[in-house]
Amino acid sequence: MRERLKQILANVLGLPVGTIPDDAAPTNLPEWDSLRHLLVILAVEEAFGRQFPESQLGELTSLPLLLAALETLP
Amino acid sequence: MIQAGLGGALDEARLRGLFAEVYRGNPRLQEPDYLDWQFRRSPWNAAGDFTLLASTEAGHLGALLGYVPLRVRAGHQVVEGCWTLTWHSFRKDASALALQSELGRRYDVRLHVGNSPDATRIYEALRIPCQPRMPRWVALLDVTGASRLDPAPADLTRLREGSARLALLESSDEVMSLTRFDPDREYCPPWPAITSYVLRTGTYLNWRYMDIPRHAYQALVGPEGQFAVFRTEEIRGWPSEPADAGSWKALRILEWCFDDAHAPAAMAQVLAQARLERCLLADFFCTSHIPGASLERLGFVPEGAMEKPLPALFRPLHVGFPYCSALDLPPHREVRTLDFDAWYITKGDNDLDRVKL
Repeated sequence: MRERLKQILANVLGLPVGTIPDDAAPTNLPEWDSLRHLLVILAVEEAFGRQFPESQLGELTSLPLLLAALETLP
Repeated sequence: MIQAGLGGALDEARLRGLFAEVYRGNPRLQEPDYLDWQFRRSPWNAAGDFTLLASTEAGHLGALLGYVPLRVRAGHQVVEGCWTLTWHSFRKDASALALQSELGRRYDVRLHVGNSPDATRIYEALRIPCQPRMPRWVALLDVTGASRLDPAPADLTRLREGSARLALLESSDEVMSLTRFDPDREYCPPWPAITSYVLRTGTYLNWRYMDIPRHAYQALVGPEGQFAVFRTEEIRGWPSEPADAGSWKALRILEWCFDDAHAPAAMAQVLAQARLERCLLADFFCTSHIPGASLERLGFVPEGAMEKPLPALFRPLHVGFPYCSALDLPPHREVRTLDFDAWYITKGDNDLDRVKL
């Protein structure tokens, strides 16, 4: 799942997948801004066929947080 | 960390400084009494705290989001909602979005009106129904000055025809001007097909139009609570400055809720004031086409049917912002359709009519 998330991040942020670290976040990837954050969320939802609660959208701000949220979704 | 209201690193002086930096063309946002009116004294702000969310981290500000609590009539029910305004990110991260999420926990209905292109892209991505451009209706009030607006020839013909019809309207004692709305009354759009709008109680209308610092609105009321609100604005910034430029004004109609029986008399009264102030043109913006159709019957022209838009900003003269509206009602995050014709949202809603430099 982690590698799939990295691929999604790479696609949305326009970066080579090899440059996406395990702790990818807006703080270490300047390309990850507000709009792209939303695009990341939507791409993850589409890829995994799940939908995050609206209240979580602003909080899933790193690869580990996205991973954890995906694992807890029903 | 998200904080509500002022406090900590964000006091009122710092907020004014931030607004001065971010919204340079909005001097009102740097005035303490205006901020007090906008963020503290709105009628459904029961707590009286600044209605503002801020994202902070180690004393550094990430993003700001102002809002105004409202009551929204949505079909047959009245629900709590809010306008969002002054949404700004100081960092390239998700902190601005986190503020929207926080606001979503507080209000199920959020009305985003007058959005920037970036904000519009975000709302579209969230599948919030958007109207890219708020429809506008215009009228030419002084045909001698028409050329100054540089209309397309076909548009000028229609505007002149409308102007001739507007000149024939007659006033009536049934329509009165007023300085305060009745605080115990709810003022409603008179068209049955308009089912949704920000609840316009007299208290709300007094706050919005009568108590706002340094904005001079005028209001009319009909016998059954029909109403209109308008103001005049000096036109500045002509491309080639005419000798009498300073004396021309624009009439901005912010609310138009008169049924066809009383609309001619009400418009006659509005135009009498406009003539006294030498208004060159009039306009009205609304998400729904229904009030505009009423104005068309009087002599206004829908801008959507014109070859070339007339200026909408006068400091300087410019065709202006499209005023995108995004109305976020449940079910959130799903593809929804919204009948914007059923929604009475005007340029008087939110902060769209804030006087700028």
